[in-house]
Amino acid sequence: MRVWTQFTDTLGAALVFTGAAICLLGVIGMLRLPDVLSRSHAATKPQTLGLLLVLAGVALRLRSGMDLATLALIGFFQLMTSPVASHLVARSAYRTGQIEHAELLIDDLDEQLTERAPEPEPEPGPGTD
Amino acid sequence: MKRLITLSRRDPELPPFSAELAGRRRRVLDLPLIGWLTLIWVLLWSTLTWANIITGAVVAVFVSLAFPLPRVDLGLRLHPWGIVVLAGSLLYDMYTSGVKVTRQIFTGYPHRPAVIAVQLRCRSDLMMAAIAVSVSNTPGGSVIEVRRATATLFLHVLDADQPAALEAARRSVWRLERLTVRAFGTRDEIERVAGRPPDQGTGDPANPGDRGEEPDRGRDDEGRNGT
Amino acid sequence: MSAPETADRVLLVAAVVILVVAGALLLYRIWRGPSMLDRAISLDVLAALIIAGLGAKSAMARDPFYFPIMLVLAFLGFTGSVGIARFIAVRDRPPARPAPTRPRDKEGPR
Repeated sequence: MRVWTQFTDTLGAALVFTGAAICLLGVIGMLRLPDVLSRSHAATKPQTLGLLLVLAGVALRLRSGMDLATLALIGFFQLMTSPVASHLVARSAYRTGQIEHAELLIDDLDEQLTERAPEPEPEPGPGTD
Repeated sequence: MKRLITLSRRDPELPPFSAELAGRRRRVLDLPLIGWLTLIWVLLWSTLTWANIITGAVVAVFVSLAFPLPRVDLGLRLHPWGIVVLAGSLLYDMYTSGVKVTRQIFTGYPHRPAVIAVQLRCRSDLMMAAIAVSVSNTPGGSVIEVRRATATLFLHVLDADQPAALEAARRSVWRLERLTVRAFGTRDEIERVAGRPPDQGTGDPANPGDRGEEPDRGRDDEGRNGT
Repeated sequence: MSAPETADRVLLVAAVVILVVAGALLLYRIWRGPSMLDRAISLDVLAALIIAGLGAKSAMARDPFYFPIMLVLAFLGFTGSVGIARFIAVRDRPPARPAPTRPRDKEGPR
């Protein structure tokens, strides 16, 4: 029994460490990638995978029912809300022309935007829940 | 004498799992919403006592009376096994595409990003929102734009050197769509998704030819609320 | 303190140090960020890093005291960058859409 709790503790600490390392990798990506949309790809990593690993590690070290529920709720809300922000940022980056259209290999959206001549009404982003 | 509270089991006009309060204005309470708000309240206090549960329920009822939501059937069904499969597949996707993005970061430029359109098969707003959320939770895809009328997602793909990568991105979106609808969708959405993907991208990926053939149905404002 | 507990502490302290380094690098991106949208994304990531740091701290102390703060950050952390993306970034829109120029981008993409 003693060995088992010790094992769980160490596994939790290792998970927290791995999550932190993934966060660091994502931040390095945010420093190195050239434009806004690419950076938002790198930003997804600390927000999802890194944070989930850290929360799993904390859950392994705390091991009480109420704390587990709270941690699950934290992860759930993080997964639900961060796409809203990243979608709005990406959309606004595209619309304000902060990406180089010449760099894009294929651009399916450009013709759709230009054929609807007036600026389309701003729709609420998906998943605004 | 009129009842003070009418449950939806007694009154088939009400939406499922809801209760109606008697009064001058008809107020309909959504019971799962109240349960969810109470759960969040209890978790914020982080102790499970009866006092917390009761005050949480009171606050939830008050909030949903003070800020009423429009009555829309969202079409949300929970399939537990589908949710498990979706969660596992999302975790796996997060891992693999995280590795891919990391390789992209450290091998340096030049990479060629692209913006591609992916036509979805299901049409309901909630499903599209759920698909967009699960697509943008994996590090490889970020959703730029969503067209509700044609159910099209516009993705930014980080590495699009060859057309095979674009095809792979489209296919992974369709796979996520299938899994998401199997986790949360109604029955006919699941049946619609079981078919093969719309034949866009079988030929020239840049060809927008067969888009917009669907009639522009439902730019109605119900179901706009996105919750 | 037994050897595995020492290993746990080392791992957790290393995790906190890594998170602090990541936050410092992110502050560089916020300071430097060529556009407001970069700062918006960085703010979002910073919220995630704060949640992770609080998680590491409470894993070290085995103390759920900070969990409500993490919860609130997880569901309100995105509002700042939504505000930036909706209202501030639109204001510094470049003049013409067909020929996008990037006037604020001093460092150049590559």
